[in-house]
Amino acid sequence: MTVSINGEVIEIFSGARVHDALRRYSAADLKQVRAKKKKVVDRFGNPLALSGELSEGQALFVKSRDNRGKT
Amino acid sequence: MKRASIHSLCGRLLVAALMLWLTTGAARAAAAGTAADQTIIILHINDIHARIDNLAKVAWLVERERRAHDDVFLFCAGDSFSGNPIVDQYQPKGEPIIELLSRLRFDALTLGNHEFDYGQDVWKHFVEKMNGTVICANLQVETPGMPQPSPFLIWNTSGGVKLAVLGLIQRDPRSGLPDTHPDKVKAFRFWDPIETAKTYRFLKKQGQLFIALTHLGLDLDVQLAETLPELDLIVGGHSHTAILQPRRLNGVLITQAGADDQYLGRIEILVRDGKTTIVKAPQLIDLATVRDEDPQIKELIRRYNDNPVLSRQIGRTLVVLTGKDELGCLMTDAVRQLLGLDIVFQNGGGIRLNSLPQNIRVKDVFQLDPFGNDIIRLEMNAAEIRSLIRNSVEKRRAIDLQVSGIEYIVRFDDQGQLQEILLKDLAGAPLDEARTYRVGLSSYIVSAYRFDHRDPGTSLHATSAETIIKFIEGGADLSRYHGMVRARLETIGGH
Repeated sequence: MTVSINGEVIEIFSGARVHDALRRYSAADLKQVRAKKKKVVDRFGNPLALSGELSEGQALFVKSRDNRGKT
Repeated sequence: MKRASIHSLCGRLLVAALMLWLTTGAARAAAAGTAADQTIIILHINDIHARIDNLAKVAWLVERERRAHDDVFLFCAGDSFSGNPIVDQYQPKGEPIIELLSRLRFDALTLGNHEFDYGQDVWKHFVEKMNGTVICANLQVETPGMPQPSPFLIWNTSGGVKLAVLGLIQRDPRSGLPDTHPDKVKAFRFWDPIETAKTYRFLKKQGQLFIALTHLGLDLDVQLAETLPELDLIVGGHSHTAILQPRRLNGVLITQAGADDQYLGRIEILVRDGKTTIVKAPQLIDLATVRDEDPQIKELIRRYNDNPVLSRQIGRTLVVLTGKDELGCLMTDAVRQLLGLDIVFQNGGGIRLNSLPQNIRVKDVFQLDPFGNDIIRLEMNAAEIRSLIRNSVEKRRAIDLQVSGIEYIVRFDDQGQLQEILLKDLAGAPLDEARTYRVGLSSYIVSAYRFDHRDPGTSLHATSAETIIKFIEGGADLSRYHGMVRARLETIGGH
């Protein structure tokens, strides 16, 4: 299935979770999210757990925890 | 006090008859009049994933609300199972979470895809133990003897308001099944959740308050709101979204309470002159900030956590298995044999013990393989398998991937350049270059390694650790792994 992170389309296995897609997108960002320096939000700005289960076409965004607009 | 709960029992005809009865009931309530304001409290949780530690806080909060208000409804939006070895490995499987959910007295629970993870017998026990409160409109039981959950429930509140709750579960559009191992859902058929929901528009007429209790993920909840404006509220799960600032879409309020027993959602609804208004913005109560706990539930959780389930011995080897080769061969054989795969790889970084003790306990396996990675199946040919091995070897100039189903040799020249990767099947013959193989990789390998693969893969919704436990419990001869090596590095040539 495909999802997008910060607008970049990621092809990932069916049944993937947020952390799987984020690892494929950027291992550094995954590390920062785990360290709570960044967060993953959906298209509405709602925070998502790294364990969240993804669906086809889902759009994710990695944002700084300090500055909501900064990616 | 609330309320007569009305279960729509199996069969659409029975449902229709029930609706006729309810229609007259609603007319009676309207004739009697509901002059006074009424407050309805909805508490909700989702994706607990067997994290039981905060449930004593949940129980305390729920009881506080039940003492203060007549009409309190406690809902669970699915995926209560899977994610905590204390619960997942309990004998019988899942019993702690099932018992705790029962003690909390949920009014309605919809099914999540992980409610099937412990197998169909546990699912049956769970649904029966919840005593009619499990709802799911797009699941049909096809095996005799299994309980059919009601599609919805309707209650009369203390003030005569009718509240209808419809249950929906996600399914993968390609497989038509929820995201769990297909063997776990053989007794069921699943319908498209949105199309199914459309057939329940009539619930708006029966219930003044029409709620969907879903395990679909937020994106599908948005689609549901766009499709079914008759809904007042969607209480969701699956995407593990903490909706801190809920919004209305198409007039439908959507909420979800994160995951892993972190939040309890609370919604307060005012009914005035028969019109429902959500008077307070839905809030997520962060359970980390709650100090009070229900003492009885707390004691029960303590007993479950102290249970020696993880110290249970599951097998024995005559010799101590040591090193990544021996342990990797054991781990990959377990996954290949139990999940019906041709070839399985395990990365060296995911083998976290240097040796397994002779008396193997559950917790030894979780120390060996602690990451909770799922196994992903990919259809791969020999060239793609070489691409995977090449990527792993070039990173470290050493064997990284342990394997089952084949053996391989990676040859470097004396200048350190990779020359060839030889793949042999179990009989020692070269791998068939034209054939496609069912290859099992951990979710970590698939997402972290860069290699050629046309098939993006499909999760088998089984973790490697749980599969290894089953393999060892099944009496596998573990001593055979002593001295076993299936992946080698060679240097050839020389000037």
